[in-house]
Parts: sequence; C-alpha cells; structure tokens
Amino acid sequence: MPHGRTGKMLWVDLTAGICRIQAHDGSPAFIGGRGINQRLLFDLQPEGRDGLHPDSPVLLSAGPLVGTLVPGACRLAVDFRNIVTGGVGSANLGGHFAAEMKFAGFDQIVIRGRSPRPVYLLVSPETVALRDATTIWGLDTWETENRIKRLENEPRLKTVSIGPAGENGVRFACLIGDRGRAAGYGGSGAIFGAKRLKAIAVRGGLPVTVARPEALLDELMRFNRETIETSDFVRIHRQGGTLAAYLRPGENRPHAVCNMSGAFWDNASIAAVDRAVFDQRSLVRRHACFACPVYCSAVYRTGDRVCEGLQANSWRAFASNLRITDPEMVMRLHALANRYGLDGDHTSAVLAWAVECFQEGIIGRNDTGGMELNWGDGDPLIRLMGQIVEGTGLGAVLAKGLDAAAGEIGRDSRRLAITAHGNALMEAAMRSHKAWALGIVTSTKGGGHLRGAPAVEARRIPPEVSRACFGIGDIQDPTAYENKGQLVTWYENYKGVVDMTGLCYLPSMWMELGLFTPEQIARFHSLVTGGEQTAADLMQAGARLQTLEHLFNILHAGFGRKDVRVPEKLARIPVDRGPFAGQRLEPQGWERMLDDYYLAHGYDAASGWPTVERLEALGLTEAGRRLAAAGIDLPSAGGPAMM
Amino acid sequence: MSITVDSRRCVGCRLCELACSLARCGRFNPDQAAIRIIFEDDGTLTIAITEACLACRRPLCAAFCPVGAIVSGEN
Ligand code: SF4
Ligand code: SF4
Ligand code: SF4
Repeated sequence: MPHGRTGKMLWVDLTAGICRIQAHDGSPAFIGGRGINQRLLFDLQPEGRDGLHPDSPVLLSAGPLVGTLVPGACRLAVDFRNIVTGGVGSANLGGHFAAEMKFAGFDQIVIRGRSPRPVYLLVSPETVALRDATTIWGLDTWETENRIKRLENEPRLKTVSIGPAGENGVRFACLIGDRGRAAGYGGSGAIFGAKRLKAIAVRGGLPVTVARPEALLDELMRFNRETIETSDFVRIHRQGGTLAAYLRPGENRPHAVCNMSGAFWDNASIAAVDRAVFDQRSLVRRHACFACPVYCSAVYRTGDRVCEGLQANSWRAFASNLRITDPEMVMRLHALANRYGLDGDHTSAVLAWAVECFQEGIIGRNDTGGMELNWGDGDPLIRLMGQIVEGTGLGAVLAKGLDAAAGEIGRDSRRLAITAHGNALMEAAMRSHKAWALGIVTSTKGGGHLRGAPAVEARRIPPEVSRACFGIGDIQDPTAYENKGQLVTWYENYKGVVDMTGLCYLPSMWMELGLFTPEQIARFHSLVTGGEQTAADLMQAGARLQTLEHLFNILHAGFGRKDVRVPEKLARIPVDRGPFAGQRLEPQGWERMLDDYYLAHGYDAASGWPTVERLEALGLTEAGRRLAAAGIDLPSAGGPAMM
Repeated sequence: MSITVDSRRCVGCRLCELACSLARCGRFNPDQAAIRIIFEDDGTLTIAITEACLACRRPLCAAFCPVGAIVSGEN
C-alpha cells in the first residue's frame, strides 16, 4: 500500500448505476486533493456542456496528509465546472468527512451521469453502493445526515449532502458536511441536485500508513511544541475562532456593511452581535475539525437544535452586510443557510442587493409580493430565503444568482451588484487592502478571498521579512499597489500547495508567517509519503495547478485580463470613515498591480493568458494542445496574444 | 499507571484516536484506537476508553490532546 494514500479511487456512473474501483499510482506533479481533481477535471469536462449536464463530472479528493496527525490536515477538495461563472468550480470543506473517506479506502471519488431516481452513495470498507434516496429527498441537510445514519444503523457515518436548495437548482447551492461545513462557491449543491445525488456517506475502518512513522512523530511533537503552542494565531483562534480574530477590540478593521456600501460599522452595532454575546446565549462547546489542535470552531444551540458556527464569514454575511444586530436573527439565518444547503456569501450578496435595490426604489412591493425590505429587518429575508429555495416570487429571480438577477431586473440594478467573473462577492476591506482585493478578483474560481488574497497584508510586514519570505519588495502599507501583484502570485501558488496536501488555509502562512511554511509542508509531505519533493517542487506544483486552472477558464469561459475588473462600486464609493477613510480601488493602480501579477506568473500581460513557454516550463504542453485543438492560440513570450 | 479523561473539555478533534492507533499499530486508523470520541445528538462529546487500552506509560493520546482532556498518572 502506498503511504499517505489509499491507492484507490472510485468512479461512479449515476446514469448506469455503476461503481468502479480503480487502483491509482498517485501524481507527483499534482500531489493530491485539488491538484488531482483539477487535473482529471481538465481531461473529463466536455466542451459545450455546463456543469449541470450529466456528462460533467464532480470530483472529491482528500490529500496525502489527510488521515494523519499533521495538524489541520482534514480538508476535502470538491472540483467541477462552475455553474455561476462557467469556469473552474472548486470548493473546500473542513470537518470530518475527508479523513473518513480515506479510512473508507479512497483518495478520490469521481461522479458522472444522472441517476434516474434520487440516490445516495454509501462508501465503507465493506460496501460501495448507490442507495435509494426517495424517502429523504426534500429533507434539509441536518435531517438528511440523521436519516442516513439511522437507515444504515451507523452513527459514525460522515456525510456531505444537499438540502432543498441543491435539489431545486439554486445556482449557489452548496454541499454541507457536519451540519455547518460548506463547500460553498460555484454551485456544487445544484450539480448534486441535477445528478439526483442527495448525499455521500462514508465510514472508515481501513488504515492510512506513513513512510516514516517514528520520524514523523518526532517532527510532529517538535512542530506542536515550537510552532502551534507558541502561535498568537492559535491562541486567539482557540479562544473564539475567526470571529475572535475578526472582531478584536480596537482593531478598527474595515467591514462589509449594507451590501458592501460601507466599510465602517459602529461599535454599538458590533457589540450587539459580538462573539461574547453568542457564546453567552448559546455556546455548547468549542469544536475542532478532524486532527486539528486549533479548534477554531464552535457548536451553538439554535432553537431545539445544535449547529456548527458562527465564523467571521457567516457573521459578515448575516450580521454586518445586512446590518442585522439581533443575535437570534443572525444565528437563524446562518442555521437556515446550512439546512437549505445555500452558500452563505452568495446568499448574503443577493439578499443585501435586494434590500439596497428596494431602498433605492429600483424594486418595489410589486416585485417583493408586498414585503418591505429594510436594513436590519431579518424576517422578510427569512421569507425571501424560503422563496429562493422554493423558486417562488422574487426568490425565483434571486435563485439564478446575483449577476443573472441583476440582468433580469435591469433598471440600473447592476451598479449595486458586486461581482467578479459573474460571481457574487461579499467581502470586507477590498477598497483599502489592495493585494486582498486583487487576490479576490483574480481567483480562478471567479472570486473570493480563499485563493491568493493574503490575509497577512493587514499585518504590516517589515520589508526585510517580505524579502526573506516571498522574495519581493516592500508590502508594509496595505493601501499601496506596489509589489502586490507579486504577493498575490506567491499566495496563489502557496494556496495550491495547501489544497493539494489537504491542509487548512487558516493555520497557515495565509494568517501567520511562521505557520506551515512551504519547507514545513515539504517535511511533513516527505515523512508521510516517502516522496522527495522539496519546498520549491511543491511551490512549482502550486504554480502548475494555478496555470492549469487558467487554461480551464480560457477553454470553457474565455476568461482573461479583460475580465479581471475592479467592481464598479468599489471604485466609485470610497471608505467613508475609520483609519482607511477615502480609500477606494483606483483603475490606474489596479492595472499596475495586474501588470506585475501577470509578469510574476510568467503570463502574457496583455491577454492575461499563460504563454506557451510557461506551459512548457510547468509540464503543461499537453494541456495547451487541447486549447489549440479548440482553436485557441496561446501567446508566445516573444509575440502578442492571438485572441 | 492510569488514564483519566474529562469529556467536558473535549473539542472533538480525534487527535487522541489517531495517536493511539499509531502507538498501538504503527499506522493511522481510528477504528483500531483504544480511545473513542462519541458525538452525541445534543452537540456534547463523550470520551470512551475501551478495554484494549494499555494505560501507556507515556500515552500518545494525552500528548496530542490540545486541551488536556486526557491525563495519565500513577494508580
Ligand atoms: S483551523 Fe479551524 S477550520 Fe481549520 S481545520 Fe482547524 S478547526 Fe477546522
Ligand atoms: S493510554 Fe495508550 S492505549 Fe490507552 S488510549 Fe492512550 S494511547 Fe491508547
Ligand atoms: S485529543 Fe483531546 S480534545 Fe481531541 S478528541 Fe481526543 S480527548 Fe477530545
């Protein structure tokens, strides 16, 4: 048996109802996780078929560190053709599913086709089977998990499932694991729904072996003692997760307020929905993903149920961006999104956009079925969420996603919609923190802060440190444009390494420079797998993955530099108050960052496309041929792009 | 030697299960651990030690527990 891998993958053809187990040799070039998913997706995704088509695959993979004691190695990569952008779909889920899938015997699951009736996939050492899901179709994600555990008489099953949102084809429906872990972004839930796949349930029993157990143990003890237990990041996140870090008193951080119109939220509002308020009202206990000593999560009571949450993202989505200051309402919205199986960011973006449209008189009671939409008033938004899921009223329009909804409503509503590559954004600090904004918009999955947007930009890193860590110049001033293109490039490649190995992006260099350096990841990777890859090899694999995703985006969505635009609202309306007052995204500075960004990636700056020389250097010439066969000529380092 | 656990501290990371399986079998497999974390419906956790536990002199389960929910001591 290979080390750090099970050596097996599972192919599921839902149309034929066939499951096929195949041995695989691993992939030094793409490591695992998101890497091997995207590599296979590139080959399998037919042109001219959207992500909902039966021929389009969805892939799940757990990287080589998952299932070991390496801290936070718990992530599941979910990859597919994005139904919001048409390009790369790529989501990532924490919790306990990925490790259980490996202990069930599989590194990767590839799903294609469309089942004639609702099914769920059961995977354990004894059984791989498609089970009838007719009786659980229609249930929310929490009930689905409960019911499958009862049906299989196995309380230790772990599931990812869809709720009614995915079943009904909401474009931003997602998968939910562990009742509160979302594979958001890109519509994976709707893809499961189109395939009539209600859930995947896994149960382990098989071992994961490592190449050098004793040396790994020594290294883990040292790393935990010297790095994890001395980290400020870990200390704060153990107290209260991302919310504690996000709402650190006196930090004066920029927020996302009222559909990202404002970046400043007053202290009284924040205090009303501060972490301490939630903890006091409903904390059951602090909670960890599998194998994570950071335990940044928490379990809360909501009504007569319990739910994982509430992280900075969901707080931004359901408190500040909607200006809701009632903690009960924030928790209800968060729990409902999880139960329906809706991506929180996109849900918040369409709700906030609808409220702003109502406030500006762009839509009225005629459109809302008589409801008044006001900032801070959650009850109509709960009703609207129900309509989104059922496909009724204004909800039927919003269910198509922000970009499509703005197109359908028209009436100048688009200027209030903040999107990148057609993907809804719901982000803080984009006007002031320039690398952060760039990384959000360049993200190969269309937008969002979980790719190259560097959280450390806020830490005012001294120049000698940025030179040593990233080999680039001064990045101390978050509001400056200089050297930010290079910084985003570095983080895009690094995030690839994190996603390919199965680590969590939170306790990493994304947040704190001492955590999981590429050298440290290479050490763990080599002790686990017995492979020889150096830190530089891993970063090169990250660049390869990033570039392959660009190729996918070019082939299927035609994306290039022309699409990496400043969201108009963020250029037009500056930060109103606080330490970053007056900041906005200026087109000239943006273009300078983009020049630097493409140069750092070794791409053609005019088109934003990788050059043939760059493909060759990364071992992607073969992938480039598929674009050539489709009539797309990639630029050459010497000459201009042929677009 | 003895092992004492305090379920109220537990955060459910299951590092103890992994560590124990490594100690017992030299590979990772929670099903082969002598310690098991039970996730209750009400959101609470129970740490269960099975008969297979050897009450190790230097218990790896305790060494990896991030919250000190497992303590070893003299009988
Ligand atoms: S840091 Fe938080 S989100 Fe990441 S693996 Fe640990 S508990 Fe999960
Ligand atoms: S004391 Fe030893 S055998 Fe018992 S649970 Fe801990 S590691 Fe396992
Ligand atoms: S290592 Fe500690 S906190 Fe983690 S599951 Fe085991 S007992 Fe609970």
